[in-house]
Amino acid sequence: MQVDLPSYVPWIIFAPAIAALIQHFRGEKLPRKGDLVVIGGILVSAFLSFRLMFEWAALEPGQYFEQTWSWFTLAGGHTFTMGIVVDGLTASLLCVVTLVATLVFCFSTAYMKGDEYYHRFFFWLSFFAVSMLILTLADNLLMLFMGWELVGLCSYKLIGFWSKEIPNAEAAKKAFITTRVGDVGMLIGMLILYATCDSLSIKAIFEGVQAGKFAGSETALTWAGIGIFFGAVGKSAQFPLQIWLPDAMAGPTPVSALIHAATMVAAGVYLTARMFPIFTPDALGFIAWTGGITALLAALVAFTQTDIKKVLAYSTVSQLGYMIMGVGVGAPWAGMFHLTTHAMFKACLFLGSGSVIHAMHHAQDLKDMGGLAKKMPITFATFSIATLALAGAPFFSGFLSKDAILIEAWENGHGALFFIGLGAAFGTAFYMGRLVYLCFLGKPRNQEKYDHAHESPWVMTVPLIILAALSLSVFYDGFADKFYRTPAYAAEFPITETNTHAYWTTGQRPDDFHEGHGPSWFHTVAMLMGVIGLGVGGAIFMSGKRNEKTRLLPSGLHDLAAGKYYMDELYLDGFVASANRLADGCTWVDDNIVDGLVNTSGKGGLVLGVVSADADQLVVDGAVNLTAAATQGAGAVASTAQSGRVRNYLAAALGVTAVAVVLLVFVIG
Amino acid sequence: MSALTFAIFAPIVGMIAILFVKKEEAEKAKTIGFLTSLVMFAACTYVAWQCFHIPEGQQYVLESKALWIDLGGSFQVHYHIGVDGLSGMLIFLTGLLSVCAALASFTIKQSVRGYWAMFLLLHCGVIGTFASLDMFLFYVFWEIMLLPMYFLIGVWGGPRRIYAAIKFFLYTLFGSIFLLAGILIVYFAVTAEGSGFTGNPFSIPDLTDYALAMKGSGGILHNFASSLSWIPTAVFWGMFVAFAVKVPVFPFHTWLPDAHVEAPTPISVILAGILLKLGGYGMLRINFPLFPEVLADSAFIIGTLGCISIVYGALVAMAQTDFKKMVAYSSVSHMGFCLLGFASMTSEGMNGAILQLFNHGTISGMLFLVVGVVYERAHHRDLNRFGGLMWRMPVYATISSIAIFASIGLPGLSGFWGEFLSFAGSFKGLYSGAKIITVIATLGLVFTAAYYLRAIQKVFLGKTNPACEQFPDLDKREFWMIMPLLVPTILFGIYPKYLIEIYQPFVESFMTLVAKVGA
Repeated sequence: MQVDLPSYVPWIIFAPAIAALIQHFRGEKLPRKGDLVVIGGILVSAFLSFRLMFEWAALEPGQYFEQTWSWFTLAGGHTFTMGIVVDGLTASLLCVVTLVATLVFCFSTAYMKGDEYYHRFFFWLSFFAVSMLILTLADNLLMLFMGWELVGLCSYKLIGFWSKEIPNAEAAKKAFITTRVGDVGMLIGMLILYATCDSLSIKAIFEGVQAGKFAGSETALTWAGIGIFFGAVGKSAQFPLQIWLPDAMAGPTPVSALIHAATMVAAGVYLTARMFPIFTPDALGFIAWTGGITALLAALVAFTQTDIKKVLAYSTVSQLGYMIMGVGVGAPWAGMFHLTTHAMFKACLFLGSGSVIHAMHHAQDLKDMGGLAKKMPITFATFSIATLALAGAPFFSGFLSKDAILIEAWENGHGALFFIGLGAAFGTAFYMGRLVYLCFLGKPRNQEKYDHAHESPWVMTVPLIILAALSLSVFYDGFADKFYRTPAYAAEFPITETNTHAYWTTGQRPDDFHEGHGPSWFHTVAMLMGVIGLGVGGAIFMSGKRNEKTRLLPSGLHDLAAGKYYMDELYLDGFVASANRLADGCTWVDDNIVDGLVNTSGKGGLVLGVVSADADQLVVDGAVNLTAAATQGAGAVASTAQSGRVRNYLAAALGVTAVAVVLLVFVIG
Repeated sequence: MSALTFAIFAPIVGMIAILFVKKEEAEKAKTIGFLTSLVMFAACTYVAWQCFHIPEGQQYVLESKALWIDLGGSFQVHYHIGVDGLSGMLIFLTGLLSVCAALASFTIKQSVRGYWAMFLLLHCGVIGTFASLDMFLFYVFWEIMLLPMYFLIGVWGGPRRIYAAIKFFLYTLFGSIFLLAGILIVYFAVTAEGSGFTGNPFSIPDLTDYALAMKGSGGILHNFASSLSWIPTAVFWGMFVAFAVKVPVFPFHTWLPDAHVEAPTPISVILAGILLKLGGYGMLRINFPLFPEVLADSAFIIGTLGCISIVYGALVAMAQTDFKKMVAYSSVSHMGFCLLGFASMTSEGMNGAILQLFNHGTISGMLFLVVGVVYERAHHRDLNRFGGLMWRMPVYATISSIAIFASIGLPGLSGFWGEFLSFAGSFKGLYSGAKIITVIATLGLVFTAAYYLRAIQKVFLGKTNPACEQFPDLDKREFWMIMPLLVPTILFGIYPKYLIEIYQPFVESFMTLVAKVGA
């Protein structure tokens, strides 16, 4: 049921927007290069977000805030609206975004200290927050798409922040274009929905789907769903468009934490969860398998990486696959829940890696690390807590959310995906165990760097501590039920026909969740997967014989994974090269055929012109005189010799005139 | 004298004033030219403002009508002008771009008086064409524009200016001959015995009403069509070619890259910003309303041409190494959206196409100014010989990026709306195959991003090319010549309402037409 929006809500967007404007025009001249302005903006936003979250939480289940404003109206009565909707999905994502953003902004003040373009960095951070908040608050696909593309722009600018180095610029370009491929899919999905429902408002789309506007053309609805989901495939780095996210690590580490781990990449999950009721069973199957495959494939690649950020990047891809799989198996609430917990512990891991990289003077390969726990106790402790959460150890947040996805997969009859998920869970724990050991434990492998390493300043460690604390499971008791079970519109438009799962649409909580569901061995196994994986992943290095270069996978699989399944090569040599060849081909056609025809018709026109010169003196003379006068004029002014080509053109004009005249005579006569 | 007549002939007054400038004081011509462009801008803004208040039941404002050429009988050509939201919006665009182009023209050092005289004459032709409600007058203004453009490219252009100028001239002339033939055939048809036409045979409003009244019974050429059924189709396509050359639509576009590459910066701005819009405007004002039934039958072909222009233009742009040529081909690509929208004959499609006319005007204007700025410093436009300008020219880099991202169609900047609404309309298109064509056209979005991002990388990113080390950032004049285009790009990107409102009556009447034709 709709409730009026509190009037302060637009300020959640305006506050960082104003900060961004100030930063853009005055940032460089402000004290501290304006970082406090940007932090102030996001603090206001965060405060209002939490206030809104609590206000929403005080509503009855199923109630949500919404308000729309007219954007513009086209002839024929098509009105496009701007609108804000606040339900559990929005409220929680708002808090996640503003909280992580605040912490990352603070962290950045130390991490980016002394950078030549420090002020510009903060401008883009603030602009990213604005875009992400637009995306989060939108109640229609058009506004959401606007935020969607703008976060893409910010991501592009921030990945390429150090674009004096061309590889960084290449990575940024790759990210933008790859996600753009997904966005085209999303656009097509939007077009299908708009053509049928005559609106892009999410509420109207649900209403239209429920009213049977797609009756008889379920395939179109499936394609609309897959189209929309394709946007998520690009943005959330799902197979087969996952290739850009690891490269995106070229950006400064705080950016990786905020954009490429916690918020923007999760927007795809949010979109799929938000649009869940339009997905047909076929579309959901597609989504679930895309997520499952991504989760497993990316986890395997993480085994082979030696760059601390790359390991985390593949881990992010894998976890996003998990979330998408959650949505696909019919439990968007579980996907959203994992999004929330993941945002906290993955931001913590990335900022932790940032802290390490900062301490190591921008070395980020594992070969230079080892034994850092002694030098950086706070970083080590928080990193470990976040690792436990990611691995899904009991008492940590990841356990709850990962558990929820796996149990839903089993419950809804996706046995194969359940085992894939279980495998990915083990893999996740294993590579994280490896990472923690190689980074923090054992003996230092680069004594010189080790000697210079130091714990980071408090502006960096305090965010780590906060995020690590938020990775504990105590904060998430009953969280998923409160926030994700009763999204906006679910009560008004329960779309049971096309839906595989009733929890979402009826808003009812299954009482026996966590008790008695799934096989009895389930929780034990899930827990063991995490703990054993971690233990084994760390323990195999204890002897000191193995290091980051040790191949942990069977040889063939290792090569395949280390080569990222050769997808970069496939795309580069396949699609990009073909597109370039096509472009060259088109250019050749343009120069030689299309333009060549112009020249040929010039020659042909000469003949025609001579033949029909007598046809009608008056009209032809007129045309000739006009052209002649113009040519003479040009000749007089520029006095440059005319080429033979020019004569061809003149002849062409003559010929055409002749044709026109013949036509005229014919008609009049 | 109405404000509209003033707007049309103010440039002529300026031009006459320039004729009195002595050769030694050629700089004065610059001042006169610039002041005249300011006056034009004010007049154009006033004209556009009036279009927000078109009285109920009236289609045009600022209308004036006087007999001009009387050859006896029904052959009466009137000086008949007036504006609705569509032409008002485009006249405003003309005024806006004329100021920017005038500021960009300050660097012209050769035959200054001649340049400014031609510059002003060009604007007279453009505004006159937009304002004409008489087909013959339209044709006269249409041809008036041609001549100054020819000289502006041919005299003040680059190394291959003569070739480019003559190609431009003859190509456009080739098109406009079809237009003239069409106008005359329509004249003979409606004045022949038994047509039942009572209005003026050159009046666009009269003919539009007549075409609507004659729907289902052969249309405007029913007199001839009864014996020669192909005549309406032939005349429709003849006129279409005349306008398609200007748009330009594949395969009539090859004059455009040559003309752009050779033209001086301000002339490129006007060429891309305004002259191309005349093609789309002509289709909307004359071609489609006079032959709505043929339009309905030809939608598939028009949509296909639009789709080809979008994808093909983007692909050819991708292969260019000349910055300006790349932007020129991007124009081919972006103007394809107009055809996609027209073909759909839906409200969204028409809106998208018309928005694209305006927004492409501002955005491509900016892009050509941006190219001009760097050309002035480097004296070449080879994308492979720049690099790292972002660190040397931050203001320039920021403005260029905004222009480029607007052209890519980033939401929040005005370029998005034209593309999005064209797609939205096209996908709902009334002809079969509309969906497939739209989906293929979306590929253009990826290619567009590819060539623009590549250009950004080559020009702005990476280490600063030693040859570019000394480039100064934008000076005041350069900054202010781009600003008038940047502001509407951002403003209408976020809130396009007022831009959309101004021409909505036009779309409404067009949709009535479509509904009556029963496409």
